[in-house]
Amino acid sequence: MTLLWLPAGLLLPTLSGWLLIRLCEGRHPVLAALERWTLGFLFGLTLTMFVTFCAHIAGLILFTRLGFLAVQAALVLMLGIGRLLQWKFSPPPTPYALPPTPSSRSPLWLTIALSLLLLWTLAKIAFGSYILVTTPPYFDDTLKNWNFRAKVFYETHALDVGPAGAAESGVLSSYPPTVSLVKASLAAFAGQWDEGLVNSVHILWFLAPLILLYYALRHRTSLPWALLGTYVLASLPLYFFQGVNAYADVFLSAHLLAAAALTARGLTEEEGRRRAGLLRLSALACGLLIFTKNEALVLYLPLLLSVFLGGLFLLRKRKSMTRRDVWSAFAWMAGGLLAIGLPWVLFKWTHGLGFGNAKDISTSYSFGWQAGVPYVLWVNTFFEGNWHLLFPLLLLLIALGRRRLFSSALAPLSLFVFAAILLQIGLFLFTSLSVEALRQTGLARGFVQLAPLVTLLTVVLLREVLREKN
Amino acid sequence: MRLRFFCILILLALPFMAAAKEQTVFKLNDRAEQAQWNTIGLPPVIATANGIRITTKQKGTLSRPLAIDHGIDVVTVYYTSPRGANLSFIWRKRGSTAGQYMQIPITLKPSAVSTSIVIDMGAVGGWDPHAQAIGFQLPPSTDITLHAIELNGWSGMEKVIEMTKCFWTFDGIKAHSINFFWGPLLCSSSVTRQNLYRNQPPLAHSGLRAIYAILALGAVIIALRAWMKGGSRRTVLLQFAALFCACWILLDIRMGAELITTWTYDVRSYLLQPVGKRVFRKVNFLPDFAAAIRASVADQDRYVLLVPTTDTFMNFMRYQTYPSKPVTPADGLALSEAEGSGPTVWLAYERPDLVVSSEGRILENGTPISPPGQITHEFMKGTFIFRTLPKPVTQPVKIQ
Repeated sequence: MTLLWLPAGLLLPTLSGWLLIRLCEGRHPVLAALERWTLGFLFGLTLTMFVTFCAHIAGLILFTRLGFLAVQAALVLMLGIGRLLQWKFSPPPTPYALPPTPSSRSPLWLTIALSLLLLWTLAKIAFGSYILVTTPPYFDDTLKNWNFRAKVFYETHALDVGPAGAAESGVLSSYPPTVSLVKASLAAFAGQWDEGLVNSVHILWFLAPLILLYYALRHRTSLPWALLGTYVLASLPLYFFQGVNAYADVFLSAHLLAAAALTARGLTEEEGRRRAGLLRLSALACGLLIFTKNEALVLYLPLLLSVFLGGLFLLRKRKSMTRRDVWSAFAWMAGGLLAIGLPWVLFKWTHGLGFGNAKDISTSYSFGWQAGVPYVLWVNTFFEGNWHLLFPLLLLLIALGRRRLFSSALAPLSLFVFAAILLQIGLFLFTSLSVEALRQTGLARGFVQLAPLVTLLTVVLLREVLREKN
Repeated sequence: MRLRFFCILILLALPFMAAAKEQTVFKLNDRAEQAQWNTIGLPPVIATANGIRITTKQKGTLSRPLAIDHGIDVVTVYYTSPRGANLSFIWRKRGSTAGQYMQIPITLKPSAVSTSIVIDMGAVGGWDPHAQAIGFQLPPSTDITLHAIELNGWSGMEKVIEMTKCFWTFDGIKAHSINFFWGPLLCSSSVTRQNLYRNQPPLAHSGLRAIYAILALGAVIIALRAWMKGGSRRTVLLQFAALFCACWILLDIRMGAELITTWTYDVRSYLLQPVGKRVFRKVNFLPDFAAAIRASVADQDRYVLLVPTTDTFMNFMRYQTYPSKPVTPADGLALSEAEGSGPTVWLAYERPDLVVSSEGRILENGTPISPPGQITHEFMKGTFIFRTLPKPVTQPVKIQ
């Protein structure tokens, strides 16, 4: 019965997210209905926790049932009024439709094969979810970080900073509190700490990137390719296992997929009004990305911004965008980043909290060649059971489809994915973060965060290569 | 045409199928066998009724030439050793010079009666199944008696069968599973398979090697067929994509089965058992223990926790009993001294080595680690709640 607090606790945040997305889309929707609800859940939850955090440090609320509810109700009210005004004073929106799947029927064997694979995947997810909500937390970061911090929030009704807080969570106080706050809010609504309830949200955070990947592919390809891509991502053992455990890298991967896919789609959309809507959503996604995990701010955001700004520059140069459109997109992005980044970064600075994941980038890094890392990287990526054949396939497709990689339709995605992979590898090869690689504790986590994007790129490339006539 | 091809294939494979496991045993109580062993840097070995005894004061080697007609995959050494020893198994490859040995470290456990150690050489890089010599490199202060050495080799077909079984042998959920999976592995002997995931890292090759080999072979066959029959590039790519998909699905079934197997174990050992009999992965019944002691520590800021290994157990209990915090015995005593009143509740979990002295203190290796107190509840030997006695309050004496 306690699990019923999951939908109840997520209702208002998801509604907030949906309303905000709908406001960003404006009169020209760019998302499918389920995709919008999924993004609404993902963005709404992170946004709500960000506002809760701000309200708390402003001294307005405590992390109690009333505190959480007040923020959620206020957000829904404000965004609801905005949406009402939009609905009242804007002309009716032009409906959005996904690209049609070719009318020729898929061969029977393909339908059967895809159906069996999807059934198998659903069975695995169902079993994994059952184990997640019925067994005690087991893995270190759940016990030391995500769930522990959540319990601290739940018990103390306050953030774990300052002398008392630092003693509780130590260095973890520098992590964005989103994941732990979500758990604390669910426990606060339920009025008790229940392992199944606080862990159950991870199942939705795992389903979100699967649905978002399906739609990211569906916007570019037909139904069977989109289903194939979704299966590929769900079948990756390490991604799947992290998805059905109380870890936060899959949560970050969903945000990263949303931010990168919306940015890439926005920069390659031909129609101006839809492009503007997509770039507004991209700004929202990039802003929220900051409040997920530390590496989002220091590792992924600079790369995303480079792709975004480079794309705007090229579109302006080709006269595909007017100066006004470029400034508008830029202003939205700056607004999104400042609205979320500024309070968070100021909060960190004023409380002396570090930047960087696992290690503070300003004090704990030393630089130099790290022997042993290439071998570990080689084994972890190609010879362990973490990724099946994803990375060999990507390398093969890069070799076969290299001309298409940087074509205008794929360039933003390819550039971001390659830059993120190379940057991560570079960090392990040339900094003291190599310890994480040598012990295999942090090496594959970065790839978990990138897995949906790598899958997206791989499946699109595969389709392109197989479509070539000769 | 095809039938003929398969007949030839089967005939060619017959020698692999025919040869079964082969074994050579060196019995070291045999005089003739003893004479085969040479020492370098060691005093002469002592021949005893049940083998040869070696006691070293300095580093040296003990070796023997080999001339057997079958390959060696597994070496089993039968020995006794009062203190145990860390030594190296050494071998000389074919074509290498007389003193050029390769080695792997092995650890012999202390044993007063004949015991054995199994060394799976099939998974050791640089091993030559037809080595010219084998032996041991011994560090100073070694004292062992070697009774016999078994050299086992398996046929090609047996190795293929073992590899297939090994591919489908699953790891359990361990602390590292959240960061990486060893994945399917390949080993060529039942000995390795039975102990596959006990060693970290496992002494086996990655199963992905076989998948890459299948993909490479498949690619060559598909390309050759296309070249001979004039197929298009697209056909080649589609056929290779189909092969790739098949390999992917195979790996998905393999890894999915591993997870389902371990989760099924969780259901049987934890979810379907009554409270008190449930065991959960490596922490055994710590979840039920945590639930049982929660009321005892609820009014305590801190309590002392005595567990077999610190990290996971400590983190688990810290999370489960928050806001009451576990501390180590050293912390507990330090607090007692610093504050005058340390934690009053001491919890021991799976520590059968701990005993309570006649003074009422917990003893670890004979050393008192707690203030005086008494066990208030014992779940089983080594798992109990211990409460310290309140310090006697000394009343100030009024001098008349």
